[in-house]
Amino acid sequence: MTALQPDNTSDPPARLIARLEAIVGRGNVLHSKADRFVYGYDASVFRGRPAKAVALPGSTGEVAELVRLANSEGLAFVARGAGTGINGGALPQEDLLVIELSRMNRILEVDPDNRLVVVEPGVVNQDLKLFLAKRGFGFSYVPDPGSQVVSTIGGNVGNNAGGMHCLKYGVTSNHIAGLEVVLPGGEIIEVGGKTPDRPGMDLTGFFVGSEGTLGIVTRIIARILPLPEAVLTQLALFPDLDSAARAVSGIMAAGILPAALELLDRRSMTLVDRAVHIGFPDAAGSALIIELDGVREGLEIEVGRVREICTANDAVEIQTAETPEAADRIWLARRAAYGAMARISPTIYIADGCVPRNRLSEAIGRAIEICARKGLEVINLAHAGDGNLHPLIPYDQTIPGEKEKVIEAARELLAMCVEMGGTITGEHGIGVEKQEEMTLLFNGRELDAMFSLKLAFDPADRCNPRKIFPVAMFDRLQLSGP
Amino acid sequence: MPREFLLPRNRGQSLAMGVFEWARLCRPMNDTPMNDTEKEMTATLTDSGLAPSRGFSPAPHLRRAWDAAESHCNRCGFCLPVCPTYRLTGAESASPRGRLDLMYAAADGKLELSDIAPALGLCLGCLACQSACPSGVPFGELLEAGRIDVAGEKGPAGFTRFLLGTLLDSPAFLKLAARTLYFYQRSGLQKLLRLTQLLRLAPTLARMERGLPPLPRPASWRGQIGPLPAASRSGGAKPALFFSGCVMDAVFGEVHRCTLVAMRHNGYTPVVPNGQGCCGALALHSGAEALAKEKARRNIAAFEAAGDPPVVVNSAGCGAAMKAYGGLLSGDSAWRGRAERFSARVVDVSELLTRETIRPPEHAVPMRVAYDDPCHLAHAQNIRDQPRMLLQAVPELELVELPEADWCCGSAGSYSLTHPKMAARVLERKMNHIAAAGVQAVATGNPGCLFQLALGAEQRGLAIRIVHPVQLLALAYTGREKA
Ligand SMILES: Cc1cc2nc3c(=O)[nH]c(=O)nc-3n(C[C@H](O)[C@H](O)[C@H](O)COP(=O)(O)OP(=O)(O)OC[C@H]3O[C@@H](n4cnc5c(N)ncnc54)[C@H](O)[C@@H]3O)c2cc1C
Ligand code: SF4
Ligand code: SF4
Repeated sequence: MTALQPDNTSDPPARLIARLEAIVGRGNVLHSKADRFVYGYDASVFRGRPAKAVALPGSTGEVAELVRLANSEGLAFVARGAGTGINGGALPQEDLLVIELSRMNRILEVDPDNRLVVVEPGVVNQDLKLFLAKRGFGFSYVPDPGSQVVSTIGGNVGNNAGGMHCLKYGVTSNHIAGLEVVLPGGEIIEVGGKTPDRPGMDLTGFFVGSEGTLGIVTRIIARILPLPEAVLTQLALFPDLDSAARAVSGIMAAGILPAALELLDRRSMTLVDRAVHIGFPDAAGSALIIELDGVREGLEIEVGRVREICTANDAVEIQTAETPEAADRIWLARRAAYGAMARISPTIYIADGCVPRNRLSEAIGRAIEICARKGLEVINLAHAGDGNLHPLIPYDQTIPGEKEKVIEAARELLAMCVEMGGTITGEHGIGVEKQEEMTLLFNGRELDAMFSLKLAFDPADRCNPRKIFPVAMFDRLQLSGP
Repeated sequence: MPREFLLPRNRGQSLAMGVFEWARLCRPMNDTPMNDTEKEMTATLTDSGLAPSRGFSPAPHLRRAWDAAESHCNRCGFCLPVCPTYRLTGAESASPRGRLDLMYAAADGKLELSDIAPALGLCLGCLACQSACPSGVPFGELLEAGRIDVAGEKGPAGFTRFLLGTLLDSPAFLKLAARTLYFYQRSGLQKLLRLTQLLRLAPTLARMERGLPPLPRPASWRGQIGPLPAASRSGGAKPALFFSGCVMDAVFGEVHRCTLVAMRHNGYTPVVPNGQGCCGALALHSGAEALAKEKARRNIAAFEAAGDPPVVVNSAGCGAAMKAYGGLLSGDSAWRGRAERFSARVVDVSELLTRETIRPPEHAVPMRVAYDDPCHLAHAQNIRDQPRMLLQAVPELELVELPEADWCCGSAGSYSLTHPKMAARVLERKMNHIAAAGVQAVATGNPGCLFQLALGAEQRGLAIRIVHPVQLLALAYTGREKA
């Protein structure tokens, strides 16, 4: 039985609301109880505090003014995009101002000559892609997190989002040329820019992936790439995980760099089949989706070599899509996995960790064991080329203790990844979910070095407070005073 | 605290009170969620989503709906891009995910029903979120439960109840209203009133007046179907029961006539059973559960008495409501089985006509036509292709795909009265697409949408006809607009 816990977040004082409204306009400040309540969640399994108030700015100037106001009130603040982060990064950890960037969603400039776009942070990833496609520029913005229909470019920058095509093209940080940032003190700076190889420190790289803890990104210069001349998709079925994983290593060792290389385990295949009827044969214990792209000429040869490598690793069946529709059908097997899983279970947890590519099948095997020990079901998807595994764990949040079990299993999974020489996140970031696990990966000196950078920008820890670093480091900070 | 104090009460049935209630319902709400400073927030900080059932809930319908739901919200956000109110405000509480979270919180007693009422009120009930949800969260059922809890045990009071209960059940009143309004619009009275700005004396009335769509000419449809087509006279006629509804019956007689024409040209013999009435959808959307159940029982009984052919509906909203009678009466052991059997018989007219190949019409209707998906067909019943097939069957009709065709038009029952600002913004987006499409007609199969789009076209001065798909199909069969 959960007793109602009184919450000591008080209603925001009218004076604060009035000052916020003076900056962003009356309709763009939210402060009713219900409004503040819903900013306590994101797509993670964690719950933050209700927001003290929510402001929806429309411009960089307004963001800077909000930040300065927060400082003058001694109030912390957090930037929020679509709230699809899985690590709890956008959750208020204290009584703070949420700066919701959904209104800043303009595509400001397309510069095909320099292969760049300039966008505001609230632009939805997919909307940018559709915009570029519709205008027929022949270019696209590549990073494609599974949440691309809803997540924002600002949030993608915050978490340095990855996606299926990041094996060949790199994660978000590889596609960001420059940023405009409102620093925690309210100053507006520009880092990076349209011209490559700028002198000075690479602050762009520093801000991308900092999960909103170093400032609020208000404008993004992103790279766009020409669409590949040809794309060929293959589906290879293997008797077990091991042979598929060996094929992955074989492909990479042969110097072939697929655009995407996705792996599904047997349980995922069964579920997907039930949902969208792909018709996987019973003999198949795992599936690899291999997408090759580039100039048409060399591609046939590469497809042939991939086929050879798969056959050499005991593939039971290899299909090559002859038409775009056939390719879509193959991709459906991967894309439908999340929904298929989500549908059969009341709620679902998406884990994220990395191991060296050649130990992927071992890691998946151990992930299944860890979950089984806790009485949990798990299906495994992986960005195999990166050794990035995504175990999906279904659970029922209404059963007492279930969620805690899942969180424990996830922690064990991360410890396993580190022990195998991997890391605690492939792409979802740290947030509040993995802040304690940082100690698995970094020693005290390393953490201190990173923390001192954070404090150089944000001495009072007002900008997305108490994230990324182990909580004890913030407690120490509070004891010693900023 | 005894439950009585948590629920908004029905404050009496006097007509004066009723009018007050109605005025309150019609008062434009602050479309952006409101300030609330009276009460202490009581929220747990650590858990997300629903806590285990504790037996007692201040929101019993919500609690029950959550306990019955097989899927819970993962907060993945995939429903955000399709939600009109979220897209237009950017506010999380105006998103499906936010509304679900608030409904969890109310069921758990973490927030009071009065806290979540504005967020539920702003929801169009269009169910686009339900179509987009990969997890299969039954948003519509939860929303309905939430609205019932918010309305309180006795449902909406006074005049609202009178309107939903008595007036919608009175064909005579509805006909009178339709004719009076038609007369008002066409006689020059409307022009006069608008010119003199007399209505400024009564702002609520003025707002309602401005929101009044141009009404079609009242037409009686019973006995106006014309001679039987040769095809069905030559035997093999299939019986089908026709649901005539309340507003459709009074205002859209011409649509009814065309529906029957199209059915007969496809070999059906339509029968209109006696004793049927309003489907109850509007009552349910206002949280008047008891009233909705009453109406459901009456319709079930009326159609049972007429045998077991399919029950054909030409209003998306009524069809969706009647397909859900099984769920509505699931707690009533005497009626559950009957309700389920009835729901299984309900078909939209477009479903019925596309069961077999549509009989090719002989007359050409050379028009450029856009189809606009009613939410209660596309999202509530997953009927998207069938109405388009009706239009494609019409010779020389050019069917145009509208961008965001399955976005709500903002009509959503009484929504345009309670949330005029949001309704207008949603409509504006729809009309932008329609204006850009360069069409002569827009076809859509729901009375609310027919009203709303007609209003939008009138406000913009667009010379576009707003019709039900069966009207174009019937025209192609008969070659004539009138009976
Ligand atoms: C079903 C599903 C699939 C997913 N698949 C993937 C995937 O394949 N790959 C992947 O990498 N992630 C994936 N994610 C995780 C998530 O979608 C990404 O991390 C995404 O980048 C978050 O974007 P958002 O707009 O929702 O940001 P939010 O969740 O709102 O914010 C994320 C973080 O960025 C910060 N932030 C947001 N905007 C700004 C800004 N303007 N300036 C500074 N900081 C900011 C926030 O403070 C927060 O710390 C998935 C999530 C779901 C639910
Ligand atoms: S799409 Fe479904 S699971 Fe995802 S946030 Fe919306 S309602 Fe919840
Ligand atoms: S029903 Fe429509 S308006 Fe309501 S939450 Fe769903 S998508 Fe949004």
